[in-house]
Amino acid sequence: MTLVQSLRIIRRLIGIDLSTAMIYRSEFLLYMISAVLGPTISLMIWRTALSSGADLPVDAEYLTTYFVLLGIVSMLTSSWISGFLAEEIRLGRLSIWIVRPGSTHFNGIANNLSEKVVKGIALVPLIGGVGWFVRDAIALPSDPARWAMFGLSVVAAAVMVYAITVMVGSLAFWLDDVTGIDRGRNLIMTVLRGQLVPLALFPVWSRDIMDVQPFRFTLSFSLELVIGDLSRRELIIGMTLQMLYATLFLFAAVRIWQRGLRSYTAAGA
Amino acid sequence: MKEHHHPLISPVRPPLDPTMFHAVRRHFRLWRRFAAQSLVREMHFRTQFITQIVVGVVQLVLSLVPVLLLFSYTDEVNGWSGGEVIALGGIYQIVFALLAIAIETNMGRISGYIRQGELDLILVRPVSSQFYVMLRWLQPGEVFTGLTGVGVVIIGLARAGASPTMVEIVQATILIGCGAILLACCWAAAVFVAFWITTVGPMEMVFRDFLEAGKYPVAFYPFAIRLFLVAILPVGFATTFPTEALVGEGSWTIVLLGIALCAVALYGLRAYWRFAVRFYASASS
Repeated sequence: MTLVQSLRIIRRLIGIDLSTAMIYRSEFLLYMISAVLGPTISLMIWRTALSSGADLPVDAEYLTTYFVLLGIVSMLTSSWISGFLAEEIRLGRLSIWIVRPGSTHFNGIANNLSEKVVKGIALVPLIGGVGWFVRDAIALPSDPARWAMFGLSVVAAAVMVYAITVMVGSLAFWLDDVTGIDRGRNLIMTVLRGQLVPLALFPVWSRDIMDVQPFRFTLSFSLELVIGDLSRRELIIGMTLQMLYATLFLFAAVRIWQRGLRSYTAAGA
Repeated sequence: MKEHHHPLISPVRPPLDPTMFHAVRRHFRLWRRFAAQSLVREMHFRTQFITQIVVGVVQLVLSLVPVLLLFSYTDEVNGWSGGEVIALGGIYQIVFALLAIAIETNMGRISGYIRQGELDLILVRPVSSQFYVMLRWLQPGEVFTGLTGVGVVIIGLARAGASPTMVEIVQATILIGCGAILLACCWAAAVFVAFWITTVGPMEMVFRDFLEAGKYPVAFYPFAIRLFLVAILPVGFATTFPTEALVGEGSWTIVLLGIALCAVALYGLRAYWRFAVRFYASASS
């Protein structure tokens, strides 16, 4: 199948998924309220710490902008495919996709993109509302090049997260239940990607490891591009590392999936 | 003419529970059966049981990361030391373990009962339907999460240099119980909305996210949020007040207030359930 044919199928599937997602728009609104709540609570806690005299390595502007943008970048880079993929494999529903002139991953990608469109529509006003309350402490760059790099970085981060979740879901070819592994993956990523606390607040001794570990490039690095004062060197190294990790993770996901397919027993088929 | 009755149907059946005490005792006996059955069920899924414990521990350790980082830059925030906030994190864990053991699974099932008409079979049983829908399924594995929470409380208190007296421990235990009951009532009230709207899953998610605020003392929030976390969504009641009791800042007034609030919340929830059931459309009939 050619790339053009694949893209055409994905486009069609996006159309179907979009209309389905629109039916559940009020649910998506609630999901997005949920996505904004966590960063808002963190923002209040760290601002209180600052105002009570905590000597943080970052200022109020950094923290505020970080937590306000966190909700949207976190949503754009999220993936929920592992559980669904594992279920398809376990129940033998993958067989349907094997005989079709397409892949289950086309469906996964289409679902991911279409839900993000609907979630984005619900999320932007909410983020705007939170941002309006703390507008005095938000600092965003005016340089279009930074925003272009930010966009590229978010796409690479989304690819990384998607590949990681496909890898976890593919473990269902060999394991009965991957729920625990997926929960563990999610918990570890929450900390190491800077979703719980900005990586800039981690102790100095851990910075060297934090700067190069792959999970930083699934969220934190994109935010650092627009908030942090990264030097030209840090920027080039960061972007290069992110592209390398994205390629590596994508390659690993494809290989694991291909190996898994060979051991697929088509249960229920 | 003499009336003939079927031998199995008596014209006047004696009440199942002559007094309220009998009713409570029967329901407690039933709950013990539910607990035993849930334990057997979880033992069938041993891997999931072990995973649940491991993930619970990892979750607890990771939840302490922000607190440890925060207090590496300062000794206290709004009058709270690092040790006290860690102890509060442990209490949060205990409260949520209690909720997970007793009602979490049930809360996830209620909208299904209503949507698919399964509530029919519950309403005709000789048992309080509200008791059944709220307490039928338990997660005994979560006991370990609660125990790790106790461990964290001890570590936090030791770090804060606090050594609570027996009275303070009793006050904290009652407040934890009250907090768990109040949160259970709020959670159930949110889920009972399923009688009017099709799915409450996302609403439950938002509710849980609001509860995350309870991981920190209410003193960390602006005044309006503080008020919300104590009076409307009493997560502050469940975590901040018990911690204050353990560090010697509690009072019996707060404890009595907690008990009174629980009584009001339980009574209110009972009335709400009775009202909501009237709107049950019995989808399967």
